[in-house]
Amino acid sequence: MKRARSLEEVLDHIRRAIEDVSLGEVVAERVQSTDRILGDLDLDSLDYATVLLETEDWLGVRVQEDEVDWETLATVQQLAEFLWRRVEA
Amino acid sequence: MEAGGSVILSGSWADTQGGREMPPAGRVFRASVGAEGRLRDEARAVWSYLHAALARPLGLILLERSKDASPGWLGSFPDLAPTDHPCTRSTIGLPTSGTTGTPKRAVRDVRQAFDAKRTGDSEARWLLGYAPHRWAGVSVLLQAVRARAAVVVPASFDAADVVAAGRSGGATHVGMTPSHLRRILLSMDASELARLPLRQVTFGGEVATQSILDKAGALWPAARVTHVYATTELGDVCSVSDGRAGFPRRKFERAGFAVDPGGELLVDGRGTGDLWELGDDRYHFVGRREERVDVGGATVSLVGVEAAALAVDGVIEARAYARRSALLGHVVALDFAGDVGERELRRALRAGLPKYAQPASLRRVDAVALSDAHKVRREETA
Repeated sequence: MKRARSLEEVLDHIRRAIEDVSLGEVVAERVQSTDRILGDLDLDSLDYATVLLETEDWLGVRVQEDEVDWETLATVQQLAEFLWRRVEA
Repeated sequence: MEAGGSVILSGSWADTQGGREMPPAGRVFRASVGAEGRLRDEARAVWSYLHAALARPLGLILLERSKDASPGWLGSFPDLAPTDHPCTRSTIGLPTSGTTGTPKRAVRDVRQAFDAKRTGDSEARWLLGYAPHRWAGVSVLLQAVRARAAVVVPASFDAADVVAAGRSGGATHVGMTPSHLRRILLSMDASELARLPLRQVTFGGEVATQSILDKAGALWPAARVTHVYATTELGDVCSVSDGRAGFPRRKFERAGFAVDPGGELLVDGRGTGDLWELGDDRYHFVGRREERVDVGGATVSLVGVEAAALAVDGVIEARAYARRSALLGHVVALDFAGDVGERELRRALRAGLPKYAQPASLRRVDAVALSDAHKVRREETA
């Protein structure tokens, strides 16, 4: 378990997780923070769940289904901010 | 044969009483003690189990030379006391392995199970690969008694002890779970295993994948490789030795078994909780009901995920289990051990599994979590 020191670290981690789950088809450096995970990056819901789970493990946090408004977690930035708030809490 | 790290329980008795005839023939067993003149603790436990649980219903006479013989001592297995069944005295209570949920106790008729065994090879030396208080261990003991064969008891079920006992005890037959063999392969060079002069390898307790059957066949080309479907409640149900995973459909149907439309095995019309699939005219065990995971509405077999991972070159052990997901309810997680990269494994699983069966979490471990019955554990572990 690693504790991220900044929102930027969380963003970087999510980008790498996206590259991993896509088996390299999506390159981390080309992922924009405004990209919609399910719309712009050619990933599906299982891929999203994989990225989320992997980042939860890395941060040492657990996201419960009833605390999430998925409409507000559409982009890479939104997901990173949501998780960063969990870390800071 | 003397065995420093094990004890051999032998069915030959002629030399124990100076040639004096002892009734009944074929029912007398003796323990071969080590050089120090006593049984090792693990072997003592097996010996005592024979005294306490099997001797009376099977009419055995057990002899030993050790000084501290104490029939009835239950050793390190506290749940071995025979139960009093209202109909028969030949029953014992056995703990189940817990893979079907909370471990419980099943009552089995030992005499009935013993009578169902074939006489077998009296020259066989069975390496005990299961704890003797599990059904699988009892099954090996019953087979050895039935055949008047020998049982080689390892000092522990650690890989090194099992292999050492097999070598020093001259084991020719072994029963183990597929996970146990994988754990042994993870712990030592395959060439050491290949030196065991095995003539019979029997897998039970878990599904035997094609990859483990092939592995056993490659390690011991002279051996017959068998896999068994058995449960603590039902005992040995079906076995096959053709080198292929699954069980031939006709064998299942000849035994009177049926699979309902939901895939559950029915025995005498009652559901067993075990799920099977028919493919290529063979029934394949796909796990217990509890071993299925709902991933975003799609049902996934954890056993199937493991089988797919184990078929990948370099994967020695694999353990699939469910993890909670805020997005999909649950997802599949996979722990694996072996010499393969995560991305390479993920790529291989993409090709071999439907989408929702693909593990969302992949974790490399030194060894996967096994229960004390040498079966893959299904709960999420740290």
